[in-house]
Amino acid sequence: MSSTAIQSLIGTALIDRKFCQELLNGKRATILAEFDLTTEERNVALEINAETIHEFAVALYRRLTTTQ
Amino acid sequence: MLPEAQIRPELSDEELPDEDVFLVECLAWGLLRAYEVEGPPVPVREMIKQALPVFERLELLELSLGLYSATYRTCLDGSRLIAVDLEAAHTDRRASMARELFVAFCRSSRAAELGWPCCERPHVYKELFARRLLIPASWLQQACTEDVSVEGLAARFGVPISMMSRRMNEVFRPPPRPDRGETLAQIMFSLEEPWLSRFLELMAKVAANREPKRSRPTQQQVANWLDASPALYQDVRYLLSTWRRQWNIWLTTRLTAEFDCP
Repeated sequence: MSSTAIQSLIGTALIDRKFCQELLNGKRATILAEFDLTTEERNVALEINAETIHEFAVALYRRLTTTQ
Repeated sequence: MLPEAQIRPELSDEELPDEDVFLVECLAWGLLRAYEVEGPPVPVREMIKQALPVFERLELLELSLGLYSATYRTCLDGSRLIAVDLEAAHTDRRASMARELFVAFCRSSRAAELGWPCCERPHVYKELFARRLLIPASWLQQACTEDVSVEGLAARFGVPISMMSRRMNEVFRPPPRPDRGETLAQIMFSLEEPWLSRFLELMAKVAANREPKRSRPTQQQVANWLDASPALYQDVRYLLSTWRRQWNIWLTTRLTAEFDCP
């Protein structure tokens, strides 16, 4: 199960266009710092290459589910 | 007002794709964060009354409906409202408002822009969303250290007892899934031809890098492949769900492209 921080991150991107754009385009590290992520979650989130938040969320979910 | 479809859910939560459930839960947490809600009860009425921009001119209308505890409607002028029955019990109203808030999101331009997987059938997911919005798992786990009665917890979270009972089952007794691959393989093998062969060819190609025309994998082999790879399990589960229910068009398109189907 993914953490609350990961779910808050994705959820915020779902409802906030500006936040979503920043998460996907260049400001990801800054955005991630706002959330209480584990080192693993943060690393995985930084590695994902996605064009949409849906792609990002699904990739993140799969990566984190697979590693658990 | 334009009536929205009032259709009862056709799938149990356990049948919904895990990734969709994850996204629905994310939406709930995103809203909780946006409204800075840090504990129960979740102020769902205020969330609708002070709707975020993403909900586009959403308003709350409180009146005597008589038929539904709450219902979402799109108006001819483009405005949107959630009508709530003032005569319904307080907890039922809250649960209904949470459900309809999800429908409102599914009907928003943001949901369309996202390719939100629940857009086509918000009624399938809205109950699930309401439970996750009103009773976040981590809050429930925390609350249970102080009060273990369903009635007490329901009162604390401001939800119907039946909703709390179901959520407690979800959080504390998640359905065991030792046979998940086997169950999915069984569903796949119940498909008629030519669809079974096409699914098996896809499975063989993706899971074992086998040539499609080689011998057909057995049901047990397919189950083993599914158990061995969570990503493959998710893909196939989603694909089968789509195939059987004619859901998201893009997945069907993907399958069609894979096998050059008409």
